Amino acid sequence: MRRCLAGLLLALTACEPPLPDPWPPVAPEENDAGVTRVRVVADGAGFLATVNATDTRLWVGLDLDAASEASFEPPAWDLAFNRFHVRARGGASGDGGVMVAILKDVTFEAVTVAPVDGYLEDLPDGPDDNTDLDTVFEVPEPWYMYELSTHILTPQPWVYVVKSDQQATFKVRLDGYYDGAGTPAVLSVRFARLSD
Amino acid sequence: MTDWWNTARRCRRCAASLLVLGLVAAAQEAEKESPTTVVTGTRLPQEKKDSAVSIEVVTRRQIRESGARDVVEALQARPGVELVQNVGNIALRMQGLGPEYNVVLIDGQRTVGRVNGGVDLSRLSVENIEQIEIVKGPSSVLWGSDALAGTVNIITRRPTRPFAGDGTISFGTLTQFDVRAGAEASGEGWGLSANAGYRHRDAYDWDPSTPATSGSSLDQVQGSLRATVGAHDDSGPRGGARVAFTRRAQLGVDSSGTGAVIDRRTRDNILEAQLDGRIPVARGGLGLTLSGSVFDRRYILDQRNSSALDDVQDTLDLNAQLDAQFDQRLGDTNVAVVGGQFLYERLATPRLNSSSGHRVRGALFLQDTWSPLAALSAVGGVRLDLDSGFGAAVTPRLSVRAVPHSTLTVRASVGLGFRAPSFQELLLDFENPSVGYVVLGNPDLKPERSFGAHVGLEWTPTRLWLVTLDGFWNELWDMIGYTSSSQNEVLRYQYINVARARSRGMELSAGVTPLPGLSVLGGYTLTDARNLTEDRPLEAQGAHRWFGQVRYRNRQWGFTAQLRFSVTGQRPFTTDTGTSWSQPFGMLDARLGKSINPHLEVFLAGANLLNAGDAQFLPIAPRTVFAGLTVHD
Repeated sequence: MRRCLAGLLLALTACEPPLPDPWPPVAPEENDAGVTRVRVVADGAGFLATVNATDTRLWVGLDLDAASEASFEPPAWDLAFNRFHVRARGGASGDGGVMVAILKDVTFEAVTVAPVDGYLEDLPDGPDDNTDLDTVFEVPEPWYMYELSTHILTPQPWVYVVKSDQQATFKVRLDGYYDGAGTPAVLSVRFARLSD
Repeated sequence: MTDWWNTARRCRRCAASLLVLGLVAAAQEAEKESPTTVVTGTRLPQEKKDSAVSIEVVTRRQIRESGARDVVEALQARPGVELVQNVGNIALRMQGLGPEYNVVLIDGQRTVGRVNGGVDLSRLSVENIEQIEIVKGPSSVLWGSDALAGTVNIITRRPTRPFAGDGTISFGTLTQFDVRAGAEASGEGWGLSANAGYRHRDAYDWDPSTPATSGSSLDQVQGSLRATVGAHDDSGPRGGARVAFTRRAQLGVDSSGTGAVIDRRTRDNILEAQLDGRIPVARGGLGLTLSGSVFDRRYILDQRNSSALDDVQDTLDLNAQLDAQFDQRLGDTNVAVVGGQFLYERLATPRLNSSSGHRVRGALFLQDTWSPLAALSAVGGVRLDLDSGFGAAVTPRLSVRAVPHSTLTVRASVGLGFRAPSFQELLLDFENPSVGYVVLGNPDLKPERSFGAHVGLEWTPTRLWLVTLDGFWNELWDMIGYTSSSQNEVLRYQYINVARARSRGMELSAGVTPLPGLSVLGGYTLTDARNLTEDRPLEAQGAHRWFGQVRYRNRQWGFTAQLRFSVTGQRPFTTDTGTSWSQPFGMLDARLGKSINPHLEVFLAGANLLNAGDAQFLPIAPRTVFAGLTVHD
């Protein structure tokens, strides 16, 4: 019996749990404030912007006229993104004069001319249960549908016509809230300039 | 016809003779059983049959014969105990209440590292366990916070034999490998013991349609050392030290509806140390215990194809406890216990809004055991806890034991209990980055409070039968729940003292030893547990549960067999769309053992043989079979 016990104890000393390699692991890559957060590629007659708005501390600006990322401060943006929040730089959100009209029953491709009226600006926080601005993209109806059971955000199939700070008009559609790896707050924003 | 009748009559005679012989032999075997000493019900060692507090015991022999490798397996199919798989733990449910309403002790000291309300019992290996004591009903009077529905005290082995050792090695499906060994030596006035073990199991998955695993892989090493000086019992001064270390790594995969796939790695280091001593004083003694434990967890999320959801979280849970207890026999009928406890807890984790929290709690308790007659005893006690966070909690309890007839023992107990809010409930500030909801703690939380009553009947019509009937009733106030609010449609949850709840029920069990070496136990539990505020059943608590076990041991052949089963009825689960009910499920474990010689046994065992489980409500390990050998002295 003593030999059996000795054998077991020897086996024990030889055992170590195969911990993941490397261990301890390298800390995950952190988002750097200097990294590019907006990638814009040409997409047919317009553009497709991928906006990384994952950092809750930062607003990420998009300049529709230049089709590129824009500084949030000092302001050079038309639209800005922070997680699921979207601002247009007019009204309570800034002095860019950006205005937005919402078209609900039309496809992105079908919009070729900007509407004459129906434009709105972001408003100060109203009588609701939060302290956020009442932006055109979120109040009274948000740009997304929220599935309570899965906490998944799905964009409304709406087209937003945006008058930029350069007074050009663009049609904008928010195509998605997740990137290919499933990361939330990486928004796909499709936009194209409308003829004046 | 006549031949058939005669043959049948002879057979009946033979069967009757065999049965009589079996009953006599079984009775003789029952007589050989040494009385079981328990300590958890009153903080004093006493024979289980004399305890005024209802208590269940799982002995070392029962653990060995069951083939259990950890405390979860040791407690399977036990009366009054239900084990449930939660996120991050396999924990206890008792009397219809979840893991946060039960306390798990090791040698009377609180275990560290509650995850989602419960201590993961699968991390507690059985190699150095002498017995497991289970007290049903409120025990806050002795053990403080969390002892509302039940108390499980794991009593570790003390080295008392000159030289002894045992060990087990086994292999099985799911790439299970388990090896454990222990040795002890003792002499006049000293004792030493050491235990060590290693365990591996692969991950498993109930839903192959997603990349997520249902259960993580496991690698665990653990070891412990114990030294004692002085007397081996309470006859003289004695002291001891125990240190135990566990390191475990778990790997799993999470996936979400957004398409994110995340590799999850958890590494735990758990260190427990304890110093204890006791000196006889007059007709009693004074005992001191100082213990400390550290639970160090590194939790790593590694998103596939991206680093946006990567995260590393370190959690350090520290617990220090000082217990002092003075007990004294007063006259011939009373034993008084006066004690104090000091507890320091600290939790550091990035999930708290201040990164860490700490608190202290002091307690005084007083208890008297009154035994005017052999057939009557009562234990009354009261405890005052003073917490740096919530203030005072007073928890009295009264337990009575009466033996109105030589075959019948009645136990009744009423008491108050409390559960201190956890650090998470007080200080949490957590946002789930992958799905976007927020959970906030509430520093103004009060402790949950309960009133509990328990009545138990123990009937032994013959030496071969044991029938028990238990009834329980618990009322809970200030239960901690969630309030939810939406901010721009994203949910924010916050803990509040919101709920009233009630759990009540009964449990019937019957055990018989019909033949030498054969024992059969079966029982049924009916539970009604409701959240009265929301008028819905308490989470995951089914109304019906059946359990049983059959054990057979043939000393001549060196053969043991054990079958354990439980059937759990539908269980309610709260979802965002209402209450969903899980399907009933059955659990069946079996073990066959054959002794090769007096010190060596080979065995074949199976766990969850009915292959119960699903990804949503029952993510337990699937059917596994393993075989191995055991060496014992």
